[in-house]
Amino acid sequence: MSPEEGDGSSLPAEDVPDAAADIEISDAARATAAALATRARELTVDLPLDLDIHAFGRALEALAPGEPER
Amino acid sequence: MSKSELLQFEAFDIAAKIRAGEISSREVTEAAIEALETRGRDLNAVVELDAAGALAAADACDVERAQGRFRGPLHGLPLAHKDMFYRAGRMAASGTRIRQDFVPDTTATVLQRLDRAGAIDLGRLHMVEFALGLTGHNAITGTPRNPWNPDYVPGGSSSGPAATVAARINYMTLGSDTGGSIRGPAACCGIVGIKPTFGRVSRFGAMPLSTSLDHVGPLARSSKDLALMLHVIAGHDPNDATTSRRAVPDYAGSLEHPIKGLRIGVNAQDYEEPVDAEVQHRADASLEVLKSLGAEIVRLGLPAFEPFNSLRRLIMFVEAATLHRRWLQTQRQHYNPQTLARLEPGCAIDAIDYQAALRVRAPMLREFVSSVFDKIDLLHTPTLPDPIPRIDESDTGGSQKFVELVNRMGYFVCPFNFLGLPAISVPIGFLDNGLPAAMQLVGQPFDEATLLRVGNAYERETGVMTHGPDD
Repeated sequence: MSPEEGDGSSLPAEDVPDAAADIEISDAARATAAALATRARELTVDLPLDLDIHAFGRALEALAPGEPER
Repeated sequence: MSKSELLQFEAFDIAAKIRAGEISSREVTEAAIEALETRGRDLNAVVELDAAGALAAADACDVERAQGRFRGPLHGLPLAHKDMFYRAGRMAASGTRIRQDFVPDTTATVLQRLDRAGAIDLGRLHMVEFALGLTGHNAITGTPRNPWNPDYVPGGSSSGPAATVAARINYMTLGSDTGGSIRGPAACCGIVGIKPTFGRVSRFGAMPLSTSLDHVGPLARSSKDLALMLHVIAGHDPNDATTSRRAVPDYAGSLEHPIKGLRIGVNAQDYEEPVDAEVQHRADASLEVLKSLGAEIVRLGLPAFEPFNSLRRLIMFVEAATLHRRWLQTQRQHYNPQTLARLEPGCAIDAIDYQAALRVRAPMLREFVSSVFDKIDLLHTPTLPDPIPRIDESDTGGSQKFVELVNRMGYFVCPFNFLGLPAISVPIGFLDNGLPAAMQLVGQPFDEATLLRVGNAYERETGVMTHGPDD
């Protein structure tokens, strides 16, 4: 894809805007985000990360009591 | 029979009377419209009713009944719902100025299924802005009132729906639950509400808040009515890829099975959040009732709830902020401060942390189910850790105090949005302030039937649902 086709390669990296760049975020919200991200890293560091996007739904199906359904 | 008397019946019973020709759909629909336009307006629970359309539909149902034709188990039954379920050509404002003119061009799958079952759609009920809040506050539309005491919150985000069902002016209703928004208002208003397993009920055409965590389910005056509505709305939907192809059980058919021998788990240790002593006393008393019915109470060490709650908040914040990004850029001034306080953090969380939180759901679910449900059939907790707050004392804008209140109210209910497990809230009596208390029962995946069975047994034994706030 050429730059004209819109892959962004003609832009210097520092010019790619943050998805939330023009959204006002309070200090309290930033603190909440930082605390949650820190906690999430603690909670996910040792857990196996299932990379299948359907894993959660399949886990619910598999864990249901009784005969498995298809 | 007076209009007021008509509205005292549970949905299951009034639907049977309509079917038997003992009462017409028009009589019932007129009674519901009149009550919603009076008591419902007093509670600030009603956005808009379609009286003419509902009465025309009721007349059509009566004609069909006279000809021996029935649309389904809800034939001629009038119901009003939360203002976030889309009906093509009708406004769906979702409790916000931002969508005050929004007219969808599709109809929610759950409304289509209720239509096919014969229900009559009366109109739209107030809710928390964008379904984002557990107290029920909404400065834009006004906060609906708790029918047991108008000074207290009705719970949210399904605030208007819960208030109308509790006030005996709406037989049952649809709610959504991303972090307790069915179970919380059910608990605050003294009715039952069930959040089904993730994938059990389609979310197509329901306003999205957080697509990984959103659930749709019913609120009603009895577990029997929940069973009736859940059976109608559950099941696979090609328009919602997360829905299960699993067959929908006959929930009502197993309601009366005894609960003797069921193993009900209760935490043997302290939770991270302290539970109010009066709430705990009520919860303990509800366990004694279940024990007297033959259930085995099993005390076990539960995993901490905090990790589930932290990861759920992170996922919800990011997904909600993604959906709201355009409006946060262009219409920020139209949001409630309480909504903004819970949308902004999602704009400052890394995609890597979001993906990691999503990806550990399956392993954490497997660990929870294997460590908890190998010893028990269902789990018992309070629904809310504290007595229901007053509207004025909890109306703290978007302050940190409000965020902390919502987090605490959600302590017991939010883990099961993250884990996707089915959970029901059932009233267990009243506290000293005259407001209801409730227990939450959590089941194994897709085992809503056991939750409804235990809820039904408890209601029958205690008679807790037999009187309303205006009796």
